[in-house]
Amino acid sequence: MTASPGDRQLRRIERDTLIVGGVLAASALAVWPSQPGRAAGVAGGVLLIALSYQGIRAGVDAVWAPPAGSVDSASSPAAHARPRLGFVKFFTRHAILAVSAYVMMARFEFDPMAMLAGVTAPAVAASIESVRIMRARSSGSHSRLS
Amino acid sequence: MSTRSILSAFLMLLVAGLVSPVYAQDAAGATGTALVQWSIITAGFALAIAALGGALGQGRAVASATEAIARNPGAAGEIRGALILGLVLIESLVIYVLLISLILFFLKPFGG
Repeated sequence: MTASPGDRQLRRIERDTLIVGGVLAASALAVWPSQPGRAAGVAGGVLLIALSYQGIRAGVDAVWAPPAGSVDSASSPAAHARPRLGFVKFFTRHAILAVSAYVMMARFEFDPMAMLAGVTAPAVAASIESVRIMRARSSGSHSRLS
Repeated sequence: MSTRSILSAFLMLLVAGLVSPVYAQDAAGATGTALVQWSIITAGFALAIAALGGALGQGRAVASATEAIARNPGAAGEIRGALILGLVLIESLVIYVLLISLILFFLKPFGG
């Protein structure tokens, strides 16, 4: 099973997003130990963007299936078998996001600013990935990215 | 219908929507209540504008990706990855505005 460069890049960004979210949540807990709602808010923000990512990915996979033989195609046969579910996830993601954000913010009283910080995690991860690509290009070897 | 008439109709609708809450206020002019009303109106418009911008951006991204895959099917894997990343980054901007609008709707930082 081989993964395309695009899939490998997405995997790295997913991993970096989780790391950035974890670091932000741990920092919030360390700086404000008496206010766990802030750390929970960061985790909630990461959860929101993860929900959005899953919805978008399911929709894209339903239209363009992952390349045959790739890690994704092997690990998610459901995406091939049930493209309708992918479309449902894609088109209902905004409603799911709105309800989730409302529950987190108004019911669980997560810190809203911390949630904004959590949503920033994939942008930070994408920046890290672009720096990684630029460094690999400047050093002239692409093998580090594989 | 020309673009100018559509724009005029939109502007008239906008003005009508903005003016009616102003007339609905008390004569005493409760500043706090007005601020809350305006913050909710602002949140609604911000969400609408963010949805519009996000939809336009995502539409362009999907159109470009479709065209690129049609031209070069061999690069579908890489294009798909870049498309998903681009869509998520566009979506994150919309989620920012969604969160800020929810703050204004439900947490009411300006009182009320």
